[in-house]
Amino acid sequence: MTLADTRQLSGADLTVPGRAPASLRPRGSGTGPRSRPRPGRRPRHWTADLFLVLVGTGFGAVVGEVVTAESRGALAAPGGLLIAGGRFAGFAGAYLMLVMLLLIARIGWLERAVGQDRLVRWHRRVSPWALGLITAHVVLITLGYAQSAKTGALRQFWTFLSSYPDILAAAVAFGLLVVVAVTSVRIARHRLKYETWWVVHLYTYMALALAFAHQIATGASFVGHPLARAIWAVAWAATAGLVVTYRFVVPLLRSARHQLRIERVKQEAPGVYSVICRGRRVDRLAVSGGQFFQWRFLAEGLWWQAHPYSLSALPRPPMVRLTIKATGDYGKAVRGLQPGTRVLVEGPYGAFTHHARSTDSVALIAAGVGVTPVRAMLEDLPYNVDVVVIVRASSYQDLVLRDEVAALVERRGGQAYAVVGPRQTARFDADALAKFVPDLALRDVFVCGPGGFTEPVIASALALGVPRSRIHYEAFAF
Amino acid sequence: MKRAGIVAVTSMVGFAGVLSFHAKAAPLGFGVRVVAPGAGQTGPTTTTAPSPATSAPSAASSQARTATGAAVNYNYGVLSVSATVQGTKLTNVTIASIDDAGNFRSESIDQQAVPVLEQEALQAQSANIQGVSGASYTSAGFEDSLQSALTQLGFR
Repeated sequence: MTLADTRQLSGADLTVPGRAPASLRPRGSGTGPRSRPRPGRRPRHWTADLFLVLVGTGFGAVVGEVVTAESRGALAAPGGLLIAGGRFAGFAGAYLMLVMLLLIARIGWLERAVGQDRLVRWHRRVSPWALGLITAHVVLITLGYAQSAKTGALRQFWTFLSSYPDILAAAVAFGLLVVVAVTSVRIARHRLKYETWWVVHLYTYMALALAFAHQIATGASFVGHPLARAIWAVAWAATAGLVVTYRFVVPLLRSARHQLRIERVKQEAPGVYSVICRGRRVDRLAVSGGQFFQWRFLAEGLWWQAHPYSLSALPRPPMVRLTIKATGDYGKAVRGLQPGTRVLVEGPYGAFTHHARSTDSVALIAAGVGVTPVRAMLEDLPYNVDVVVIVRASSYQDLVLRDEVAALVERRGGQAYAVVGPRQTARFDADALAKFVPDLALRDVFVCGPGGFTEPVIASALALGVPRSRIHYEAFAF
Repeated sequence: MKRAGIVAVTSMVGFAGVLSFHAKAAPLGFGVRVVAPGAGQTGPTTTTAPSPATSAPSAASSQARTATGAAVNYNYGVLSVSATVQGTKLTNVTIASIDDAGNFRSESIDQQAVPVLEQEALQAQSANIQGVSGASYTSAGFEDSLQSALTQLGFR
């Protein structure tokens, strides 16, 4: 296969707006004693394992509680087995919903270690189990009690709804969960506007609140076991507290502290724009190169949406910069943002940072606007790490931030390559990859770009012997 | 796969932990329940399903003794259990009184649970019975009151 146009990027002086050229040390070009940005917080890699330990132990305890609440006499009674199955399904299903909440609560130490994109994937993967168990709970309990009372299932269901107020609330909760689930199935998701889907999804909180009463009041494992009841209540209260803290309080406080406003919007390449924001105390914003924020621009038509964008450079107090591809209505609107517009941010998030590596040599591979986190990471990688950068674009003009990338790589003695041309002629496959980086199997490989680009690259890297644990990527298609 | 392993192992640990906790706690019984002070019945009483007749003294060596346990508040009402012992055998267990304040749901549950509880007690020959699914409170109250009756009789 031929590469239509491959050239080694030549250096140029670093041109980040408003600042003198940076030294190799990523920080230190500020104009005052407080102008060095804080280094990003280091993730503790065992936090993911700790989280799994807690989740697993809790699940075992839940199953144990269900089992010990049963008795041989109860199981032998009419409907006993069905009711026992229904209790297990209800308790386990509710527990899984608690775990799902924890996964999307964006808890700082967990998010840094795992990455928001992976946490959301786990959330999606647990969801059918949670919903399936809760549905089984509704069905089995109804059938079991119907058998025990020797009535029909529908009549039993009606009895539940009409004579137990807590159960009526729980039934409403179940209905809400079904609606949320149906709208989240992939086919439905793609037909709905993101904002519509998101508003419906919020009803999960209401469903959980409605269902809580019947768990506490009639849960079989809790009758005569005030300790178990207390632990369950505390677990839910703690989860609610974490969600409120990390999804509301922390982001609001951070935005209030930094008061970001648009400084200017600058074109980098056809259809690609850098948005430079000015803020207060930006030196206290601890960001690792490669991390992203959820950006909410408080302008007409944009304020009700939050979009994830990486910083395309480490913060240079008082400025931060993101570089986006201005496609679609949202992108075009961002292009037209006026200086002075306020910006709310949530973050920094992301595990796509130099902390993820386990070797001292890296290969950074990006396509199009996916080069932005790579560009930021180049500033953040420790001095001794050897760097090879490969950037893919359909034309030379589309190589976003190429001068900055080339300068950063040259100054640290690394190598930067550009693979340029349309897909048909500029094939970037395993052979090309091996040619650029002969020792790829010994490096940490970071890949960033659209899914159609990253998946083949990851497959190539695996084929060339890179262990899966050393391939890092961020995938936002969810 | 490592992640799945962690979850599986810790689940088993959690499960075993809860089981061993309950095994230790079992001798203490079901948990906290409110027992109405003193023996005897309170308020209007409604006896439920036909109760087996108190057995008349049969064997020459032993005489049937009957006692009624303390009235127990089982969360939906008050009940008391009457037990008859002859020699070393528990020969009869009946609900002496049960008052669920006219709650029709409670009544229907109790109507089905009570005969099962009485049967379980006779089979177990003690107040250590399994209880009835869906009638956790009634079962717990039944146990308490029966134990109180057995203690009065000096049985076990």
